[in-house]
Amino acid sequence: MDAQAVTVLLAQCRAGDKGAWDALVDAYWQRLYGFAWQSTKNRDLAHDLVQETFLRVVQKLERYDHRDKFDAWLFRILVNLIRDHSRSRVRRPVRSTVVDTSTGAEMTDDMAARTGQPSDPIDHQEEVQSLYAALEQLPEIDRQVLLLRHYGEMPFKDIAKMLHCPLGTVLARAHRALGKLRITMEVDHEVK
Amino acid sequence: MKSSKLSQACLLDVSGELGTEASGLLREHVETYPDGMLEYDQALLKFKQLNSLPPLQSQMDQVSLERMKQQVKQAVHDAVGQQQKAARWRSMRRWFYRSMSIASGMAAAMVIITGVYIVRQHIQAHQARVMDAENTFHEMAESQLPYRANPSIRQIRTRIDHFGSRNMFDAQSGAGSGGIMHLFNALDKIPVPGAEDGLPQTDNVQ
Repeated sequence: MDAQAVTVLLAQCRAGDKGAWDALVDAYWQRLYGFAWQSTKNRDLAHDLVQETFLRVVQKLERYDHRDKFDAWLFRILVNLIRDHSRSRVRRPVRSTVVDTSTGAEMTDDMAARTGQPSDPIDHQEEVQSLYAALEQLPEIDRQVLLLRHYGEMPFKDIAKMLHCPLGTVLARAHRALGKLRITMEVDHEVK
Repeated sequence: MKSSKLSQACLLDVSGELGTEASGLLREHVETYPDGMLEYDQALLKFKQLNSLPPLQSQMDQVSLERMKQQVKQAVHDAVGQQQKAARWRSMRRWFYRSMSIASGMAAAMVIITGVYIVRQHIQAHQARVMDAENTFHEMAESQLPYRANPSIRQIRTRIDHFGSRNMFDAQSGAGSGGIMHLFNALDKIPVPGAEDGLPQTDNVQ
């Protein structure tokens, strides 16, 4: 969605047009959810955080500064929510549960992962699993850059704007993270 | 070009974010220098690896995704509805306070005007009462003067008035001497109070 269309859509949203809000959710929900899911590794939590992001947008849209890019603003809200949640999780660990369809027993996402049964129907390719594992090993900020680029579909320039740091820094982080990812994957292949 | 700058430029180019002109220059550079080409290939490989992460749609069924999206939409609708309701309430409250302030301002103005009017009326009434009282007092005082009711004094007074007005200019020529004699005669007829009470007679008349 180009900047002009976003501006028109936001003006309609400000006027209280619920159809415009639906269009806004349609335009951004998937990108936000993909990023949130990969960041939290928890489907329900990701859903809640994305919903909370949109509710924050409803509350704060009047104060939104048009000079800022809307994508960057939206993802900044989500990133802040994820960060706040992970801080609170350090204090009070919360685990989501999924139901084992064969036994009817509830298990956490982590348990499901260990037992080999994923909580969601994902692609079971080994390489993908290794890639996710390698992503998990990355420092938080480096992983965030890659997830924003891939699932958030944000250009590096917007990521830099969102994270309030120079483009060079973001590119350096991405380059470093991709390098680590590649090394981890190679080591993994060799081990297997 | 520095190695770090080159790798960053390669990353931007493989992600499709480098401008056409800059991209052309970069390609020219990497084709000139073998190290540059190696860096470019590395960046391309790394970026492809990142893109090999499966998209969301392949990890979750479309129905679940749609259901979650609808839930978000519903939550947004509710929030927008609440916000509109709150805005309407704020607007009504503002309108109410504005009307109340106008009404209270008008009431205050009316109270002030009425107050001023009442005070002025009161002052005027008071002044009228004072004047009436003064008049009454003067009339009463006059009616209470000694010998006021005495016809002889009234006669003398009339005569004095008459004499004063008629003979004011004739007195010098002696034409009013007869009048003076009449006056003295009238004065002699006045009963002196206190004479009966045994009080000493006054000769103020002479």
